[in-house]
Parts: sequence; structure tokens; C-alpha cells
Amino acid sequence: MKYLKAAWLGFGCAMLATACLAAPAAPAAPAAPTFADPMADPLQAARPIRMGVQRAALPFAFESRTQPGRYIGYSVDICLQILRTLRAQAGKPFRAQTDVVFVPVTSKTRLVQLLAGEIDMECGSTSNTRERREIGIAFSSAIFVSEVAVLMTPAAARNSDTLARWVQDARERSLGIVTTAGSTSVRHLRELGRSRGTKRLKVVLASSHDDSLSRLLRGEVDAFVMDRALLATWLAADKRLAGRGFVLSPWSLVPGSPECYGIATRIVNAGFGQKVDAALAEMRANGQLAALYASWFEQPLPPGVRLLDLPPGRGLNLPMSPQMSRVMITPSYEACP
Amino acid sequence: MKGKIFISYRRAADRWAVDTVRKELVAAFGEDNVFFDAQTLDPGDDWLKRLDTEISRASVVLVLYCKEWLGPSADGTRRIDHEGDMVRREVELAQAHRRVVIPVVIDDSPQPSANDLPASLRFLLKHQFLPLQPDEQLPQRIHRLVQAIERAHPGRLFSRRYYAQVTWLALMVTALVGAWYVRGGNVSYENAFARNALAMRLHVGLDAAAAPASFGEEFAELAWVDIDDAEFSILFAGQRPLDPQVMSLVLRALHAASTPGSCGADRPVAINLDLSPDVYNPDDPETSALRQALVKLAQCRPVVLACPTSVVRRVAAEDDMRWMSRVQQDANHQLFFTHSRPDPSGLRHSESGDDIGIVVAEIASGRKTVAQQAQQADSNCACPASPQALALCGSERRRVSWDRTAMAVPFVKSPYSLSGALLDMPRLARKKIILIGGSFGSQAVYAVPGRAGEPTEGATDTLMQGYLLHGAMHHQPVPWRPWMAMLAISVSWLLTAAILAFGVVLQRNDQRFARRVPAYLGAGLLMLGVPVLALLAAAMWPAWTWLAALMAVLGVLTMGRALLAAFEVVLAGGMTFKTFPELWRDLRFDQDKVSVLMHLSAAVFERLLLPLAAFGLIVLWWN
Repeated sequence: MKYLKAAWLGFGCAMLATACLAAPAAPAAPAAPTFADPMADPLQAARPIRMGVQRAALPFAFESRTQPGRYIGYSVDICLQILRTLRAQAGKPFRAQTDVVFVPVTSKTRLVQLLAGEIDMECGSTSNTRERREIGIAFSSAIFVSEVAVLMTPAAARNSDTLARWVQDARERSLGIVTTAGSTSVRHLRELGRSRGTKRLKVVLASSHDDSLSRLLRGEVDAFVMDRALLATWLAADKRLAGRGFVLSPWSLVPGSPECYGIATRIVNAGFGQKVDAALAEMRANGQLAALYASWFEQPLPPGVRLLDLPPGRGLNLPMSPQMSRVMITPSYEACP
Repeated sequence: MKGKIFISYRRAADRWAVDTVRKELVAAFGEDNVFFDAQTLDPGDDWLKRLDTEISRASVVLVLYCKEWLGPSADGTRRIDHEGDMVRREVELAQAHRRVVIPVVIDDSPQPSANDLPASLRFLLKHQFLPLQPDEQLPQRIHRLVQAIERAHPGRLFSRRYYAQVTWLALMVTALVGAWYVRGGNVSYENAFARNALAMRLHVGLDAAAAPASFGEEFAELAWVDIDDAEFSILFAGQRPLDPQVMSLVLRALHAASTPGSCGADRPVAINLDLSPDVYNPDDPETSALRQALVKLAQCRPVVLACPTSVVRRVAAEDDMRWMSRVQQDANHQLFFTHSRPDPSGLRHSESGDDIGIVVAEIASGRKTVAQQAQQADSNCACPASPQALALCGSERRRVSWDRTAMAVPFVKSPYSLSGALLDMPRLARKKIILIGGSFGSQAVYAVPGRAGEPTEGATDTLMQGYLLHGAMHHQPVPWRPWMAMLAISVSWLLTAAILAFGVVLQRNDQRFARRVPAYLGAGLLMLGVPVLALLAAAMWPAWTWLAALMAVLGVLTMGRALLAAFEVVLAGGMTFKTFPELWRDLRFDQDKVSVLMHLSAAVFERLLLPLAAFGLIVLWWN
């Protein structure tokens, strides 16, 4: 018996060792090519739609803390609903596990990834601008309207009652300003820095929102220029920012120029883009868009959903701005660029 | 007969003075052009009618004033007060016909006052009276008179001489054009691209540089990706060095699109961008992502990279050299760096064999392998990739020029934008030679048709046609046709005629134009000096750059005006009207010596122009 037991033990060990050795050696299932043909309509291709999502564009698109690899957010929900509608139109059921692949992107790389076919659509906080449309990016109608604001340390906020005074102060005291590479804020800051005076603004580009935020927290820079919605969300939901007196500017860095977020697709996939827009129009008409806004920005978070450090049951409490209400009603908001 | 000079005088006047004036005017303008009643009236003529005719035909009426002019008669009244007085009738007729009247005082009598003259002749007082006495200043005064008549009596602006000059100048221009044509100007090498293309053909014998057959087509074997301004600012955040993460994405996309058929040792990829990282840190994920993308691409096809600026300039190049040798090592030497120094002969890079475009052309044609090319780049110190190589090459600093001509791109400006290339990588990857460059210039690129407008369903199908919307300039040899000579002659003739006429008209309006030339040139030089200082200032205070630009524009305008003035003097003063004796007389008697000297030099230049042109043609032919 003793030998039998030992034999069984040995067999078990051997099997375990074989399994351990064999597992990495086993031929992996052929991975889908990283780059799909950008010219082909993603709906026609028999493959899941690749959805580009940011890791930390709260609450538009971010990675779930409890389930890494799962992306949630306002824009992600809109895109999933659109894909559900498109699948339904084609007479097929929509399965989130197989019909969509989340591809992480950053502000810096999202447009190249989209153009090169690494993603088919980008759902996050991408502003619709003329320059982006001119290099071949197509945008859906606006899903959100924001503006460029500044999140600053208490020291940097000493002279921040108006934009002009703050900019002058930032020049004179050489305040460090960070923004995320690839965002529209880069251009706005460049234009602002170029316009007048001899002292230039000290601007640092970070590679991602996380990077920008940690530079601000580490004290490497004094201000973070980004869209107000993102900054307000971080301020409300990130406990690292709490209790340190960070100030969100009440004014916009570019007065009168709203940032209108859209779902980005390639201009050459015109058919896909039009279908996305049609599905979005349907959501606008039947109130789904407004409901999604309410669930992410106004109401308490549902059970199981954490927004950074905000637990379920708490919420951002950001009511709709007048511009946002317009976007909910009309697909072509005239103030958008 | 139009254009005569009518001399009006009192018979009782000093004959010597009247004869002198007549003689000088006949010498200057010819017998036929001077009307002098005593000589010209035939017996039996109706003198009043004849006078009226002659004055109406004349353009200048010379009134010779003297103390007898008012003419006291026997009854104590003055002849000039009689309405039938001949002198009075002459002057009145001149005024009635609106002729130019030049009063000349031929003795030392004082100029008449308004009270002296009847009302109909008082207009004379508005004219300057020219004194003309027999003293030592007589020649100068005669000269002034002749000049005054010349101004009032310009003769024919566009004389036979003018047309003769236009014709021979036009023939000369045509001959120069013909010589240029024979010397190889029949291919319109308008820019450096085309010159580079020629170099590619001559040195390498590769026909990948052949222009496509029609405007809308692509090159069969060549693809050039030009990162335009908008892409530079949006995709790369306007930052240099280029973002390694974005660049690695581009390279990965190119690699992913490459099928096994599009790989090969004779299918090079040239990247004319400085890809070296800002600070080399082998553990930096973004830098290593770029390195891996380069290495992966080099496994498929040879990669030629532009030399990092720091290495070319030999300034703090250690980091970049470490990066370069690491990439080269990892890529198993299927990747190397090159740099071509600016070509002093003005052809820029096409003459030197290490131009990135020429290098890839040689690899693609199979004339040289990657290893040979890399060795050549090492040996000619184009881009020393290691401290040892740098020590051998010396630390001479070189000029760096980042312009689009640094790459031999034939016949084409911007066939692919980066976004267009990304959208259609499979097509790009099939090309034998891929050139990726960034001009960061101001040229607009329209790679995706309709991208500025509304997207349409058909956009996908027509996209391919759009890549060459902007580029594709054809520089084919122009075959000889007889009508070309006719065209060249007539165009030259019309141009020359217009230019000469412009000069003649301007010159006629102001004889003393020449005097302004030095002033204009001086002001222009001064104004060009100011912008240089302003530019220096602008380097330190960028907000004042606009002032420098404004001053530069003003300076250039002033210089341009000065050159125009000189041009007028040379063309009109020298070429169209004066003969050497006339100019010599001007030089002796004219007060404005500068003007005369310029006219004289222009005339000399004109006489020398033909022999000089002939000599130039011979030299051109000989070489």
C-alpha cells in the first residue's frame, strides 16, 4: 500500500510537472493580427469590432479596478449600445465577450492606432476638431460637451480669479503646466504661449492622463490643463487629490470654444461611420443617451461599479450643463467646431 | 510734317542773334524741322494763311523777344498793340493751337511786365524766358534751349530705331533660349527633386524614378510618405524628436502589412527622420518599442535611417551613438545610418553617393548590398555609428539641413501623407522602395480625397486615385518642333517691346531719373541692413519678428525701385534715343552730369551688348 501511495504521488508529481512544462510550450491559438485592413468596413469583416478605450479617461472610458481588462464608462456604454443596435439591425445577437475587443489606447496614440487599423472605433473623450477630420478621422455627432480647464495646486491658484491674470502669473512665476500629449490642450497651450509677451509658458507633455496626474501629485508641475469633465471627475473621485486644496479653474482656458466629444472612426469607413451616427441618433431620440448621462454623472454609482475611489452608492453629482442639454436634443450643436 | 519748330521774331531784331538761333536749331533738328518765315515763305503766298498752317503743324513756337519786339511805330503807338501785327498774330495763333511756347530774350532787354503786353499775350509771362546773349555762356544756353525743345517736341516715341532694337534684342533672347535648349534645357528640371531623379538615373541606372504615365497614377516601384504639417502637429504633438511610441506604431503597421512577398534584401525602406531618442535609456519602454519595431522591419527588408542630428553635428553624440549601435546590432546589420553633406555645386545631395535616396536606389537595383552600403557610410564618415568610428572620422562639425530635397524623390511632391499611408499600408508595403520623410514644410497634402468635405459611400473605392492628387509633376524631355522657334521669337519680341516701351515712356517723363538711382540704392541698402539687425533682435525677442519682416519687405521694395530706376535709364537713356555726339554735347553743357554719365554708360553698354552676347554664346557652346 505504501508503495502504491508513493507511486500515485510520483505519478501525480510527474503529471503536474508535465502540465507545467507543457503549458507554455503548447501551441497558442493563432492570435488575430494586430492591424486589420483600415479600408475594409469593420461590420462586413467577420471579426470582432476593435474598440479603442483609454485606461484613465474617467468617467468616459476606464479600466475596471475589480475586473482588469474590462473597460467601462459613459462613452464605452454608448459604443456598446451602438454595436448592440447595429448587430440587431443585421439580425444577429450581440455578445460582449466575442463581438467586441477592447484595445487600450492613449491620447497620444489613439489617432494613429485608428488610422492604422489597430482599432475600428475610439470611445472615450476625443474632441472633434477640424484638424483631426482633415487627417482622415471621422467623428459621430457630439456625445459630450466640455471645455478646457486648469487644475492647480493652491500655490498656483494664488492669482486665478480670471484667465488673463492666471496666465500672466504662470508666465511670471514660470509655473510648470502639464498636459497629456495628443490632447487638444497641447494646441491650446501652444497658441496661448505664443500669443503675447516674452516669457513663455513652461509646458510639459506627459504620455498619458495617469502620468499627468502623478506629475501633478508629485509636485513636479503646478497645474494640469485638461478637459473640465475629466478634471472634475478626478477631483471628485481620486482620494489622492482630496484634502490638498487643489483648485479647478472656474474659467475656460479657451473661452467660447467647447470641446465636443465624438466617437472616432476612419473617414474611409464611411458606411460604418454613418451607421454609428444613425444608431446614436436613435439613442438620442429614445432617451437612452440622457439615461446614460444620468447614470454616470448624476446618479449614485450602481452596485459593483467603482469610479476610482468612489464606492458604489456615491456619485459624481455633475448636473447637465446648458450646452450638454443641447447636445442631448440636437445632433448638430452649432457651437462645436 | 508734324513736329516742326516755328521761330517767331521781329524783323527789326538783331539779325546776328536770330541767325544764331536758327543755325543751332537747324543743326540740332534738321532744316526741314525749322520754320523760319524769311526763308520759307514763297513770293505770293497768303502769309496769314500760311502762318496759320505752319503754326498748326508745329509743336513748338519759339518767341524771340528783344527790345524792338513791342515795336514803337512812327505815330507813337506800339506795333504789338495793333491787332494786325504779324508777331502778335503768330503768338496768338500759337496760343489758339495750344502749342508749346518758349520765349527767348535775345538781347539784354528786361523781361516785359504785364502792363507792357496786350491782354491776349499776357500768357507769355507764365513761361520762363530764356536769356540768350552773345557771351561766353552762349553754348550752354543754346544747349538748354535745345533740351527744352526736345522735351516739348519729343518726336516719335516709337521710332524705327526702337523697333530695330526690339527685333535684335528678341533675336538675341531667342538665341540664348536655343543655346539653353541644345545644352540640355529641353528637360525642364524645375527643382531639386527632378535633378535628384536625373542623378538617380545617371548614377544608378534605376528606372524606379520614371514618372507615371498619367497624372493620376502612382509610381510602380516607389512610395514616398511625407509627414505634413497637420500630421506633425496632431499625430506627433508638434514635438521633436518624434514621439517614439507613435513612430513605432507606424513601423509596426508597415511590418504587419508586409506579406512574405514584400520582404527582400532589395526592397529597402528609407526613413529620413531623426528617430534617435531625446535621452537614451535602454530600459525606457517607448524607446525599446521603437527599437524593436525597427529591428522587426529590418528582418523583412533593409532599413536605411537618417543620421541623428547630434552625430552629424558632432555635438553630445554619445547617447545617440549607443542607441545607433544597439539598433544596428539587434537588426543584425540589416539597418544602417547615412547622411549626405550639402552639395557645394548647388545640386544639393544628388552628387554625393551617400544621399539616403541614392543609397536605397542602389540597394534596390542590386548594385550594392546593405553591407556594402553600410561599409561605405562608415568609411566616408557620413555617419559614424560608434565612438571609435567617430575618432577616426574626426570631430569636424557639419551643417545639418532638414529639407525635403535631402531625399532623392523624383518628379513628385507629396504622394502619400502619413495618414493616407496608414490607411493603406498593404498597398504601400508592396512597393519596392519606400521613402518615409518629414518635410515639415508648408505644403498642403491632400492624400484622402474628400477628407475636407463630407465622406461618401464611394470614398473607399476612389481613395487610391487620390494619393497623387497633389504631386506628380512631369518633367519629360520636350521634343523639338518648328513652331517652338516661332513661339520663342514672338514671345521674346513682345516681351522686349513691352520692356523697352516701359523704359522709354518713363524716361520721357523725367530726364533726370538717373539722379534718383544712387539715392534709391542707398536707401535700399540701409533698409536691408535694418532687417538684419531686427532679425538678430528677433532671435532674442521673438515677439518682434513681425517688425523684422516688415522692414525686410520695405527694404526689398526700395531696392526693387532703385533697380527699376537703373533699368529705365539703361534701357531708355542708352538704347533708344541719343547718339554719341548728342551725349557728348550733354556731357559738356548739361548741369546734371550724373544723369548724362549714366546715359553715356548705358549707350556704351548697348554697343557692347551684341558682341558680349555673341562671346557668351561661343563660351557656352565651347563648354
